[in-house]
Amino acid sequence: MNNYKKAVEELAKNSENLEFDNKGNEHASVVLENMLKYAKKSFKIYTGNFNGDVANNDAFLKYFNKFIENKNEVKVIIESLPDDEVNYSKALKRIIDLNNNPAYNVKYKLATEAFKKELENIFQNKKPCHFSISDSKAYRVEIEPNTYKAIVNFNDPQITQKLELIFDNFFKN
Amino acid sequence: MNNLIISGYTSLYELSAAFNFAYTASAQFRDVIKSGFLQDSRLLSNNIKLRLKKINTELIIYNESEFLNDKKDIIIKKLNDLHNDLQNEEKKLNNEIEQAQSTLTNKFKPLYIVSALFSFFMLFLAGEEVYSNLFPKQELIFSLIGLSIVIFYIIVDTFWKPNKNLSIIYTSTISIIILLSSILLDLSFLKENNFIEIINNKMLVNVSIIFSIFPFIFAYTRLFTNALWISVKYRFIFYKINRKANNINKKLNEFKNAHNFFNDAEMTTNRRN
Repeated sequence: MNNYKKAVEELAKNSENLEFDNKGNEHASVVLENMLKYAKKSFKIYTGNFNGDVANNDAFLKYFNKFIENKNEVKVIIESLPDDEVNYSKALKRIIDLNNNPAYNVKYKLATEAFKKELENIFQNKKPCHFSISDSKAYRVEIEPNTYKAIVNFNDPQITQKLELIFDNFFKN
Repeated sequence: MNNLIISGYTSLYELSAAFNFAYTASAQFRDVIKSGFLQDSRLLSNNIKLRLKKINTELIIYNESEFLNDKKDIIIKKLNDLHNDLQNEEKKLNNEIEQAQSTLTNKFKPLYIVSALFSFFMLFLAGEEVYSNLFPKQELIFSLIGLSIVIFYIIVDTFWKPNKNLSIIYTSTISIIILLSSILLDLSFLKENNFIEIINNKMLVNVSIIFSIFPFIFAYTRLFTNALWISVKYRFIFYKINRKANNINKKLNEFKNAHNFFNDAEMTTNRRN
């Protein structure tokens, strides 16, 4: 795992245009924390309920909070909020607390059916896959949410901007 | 007045003695000279290291991949082979850089000392020339012939025994004996030689100037040709390995495009380079 962490960090640090896949919540955390660590402007994520293993992962939380504290843009689209507020992850609590706070640049919104429909059209499996994007060039698209199986690239502006366009249009409306 | 030829060049011999000794004594001075020549090779070595790191990263990433399916083992094997080839070439390149540096730093030291001693000797002859108003032709010819043999031996040694350093004390002692002999011995027998008569004094002084700066000329030429050869050879090797790496990437991209996850044609066309 240590070697994998170093390898992913190398790709993120050098913004390498290399598409790869990974699986499991630990691998997902490694990718997301590196997206946050090396992003300079924005981090946008469309996720289930932002309450899973990754949202509670310490390493992810460290870079997520740091990114917010640096007044960078953080936008989150949540498919559905968890039923019980007591069980909210630290990351979810943070974005709800800071939502539209003028001192920060954090916003979240609940996904609509129209948004999911639009997403379905861009994936071969016709599913509204969860994804994260940073700085309009790095993406992580989760093709199997249950296993955290995902396709990642730290430097593919074409795919990232397409996802970002759908993401931003939804936020504007 | 015509006989005071050496005296006109005393400043040059003083500088030569100083630089030759400075080169032998100061590691910093040697570093400045050798770093300039081998900069290109070191830059190449760094580029190879970066490429190695990149291949290593790809190896780790693809090892965890499920996406590559049955192609995974082939890709990993090809990348592993490439990594090993590149690593071997990087080691060889670093050894050659090390060897070139070591030759310049240690093997040429006796050459600089001999030259420095000769420059001192020339300063002494300049004094003799002013004092007696006579050009010390026999002394100069004897010392030039004697030291030529020593220098020839040192040069041959740098090629034949590149890993063994010649003792400075050994070559310096022989040089001092030759130089002292040229002053103390009776060299009148040289006067009877017709060949000596043909050589003119100015030509002898010119040769002695070349002698005093010879280590710099020789070492620079040798290092320049070495550095050029190393650079050209490893650039070609690196180019070949890069081509192999690009071929692997091309095949990988073809595979990824064939198993594309995204629907939109716009999103996939030519996005992988």
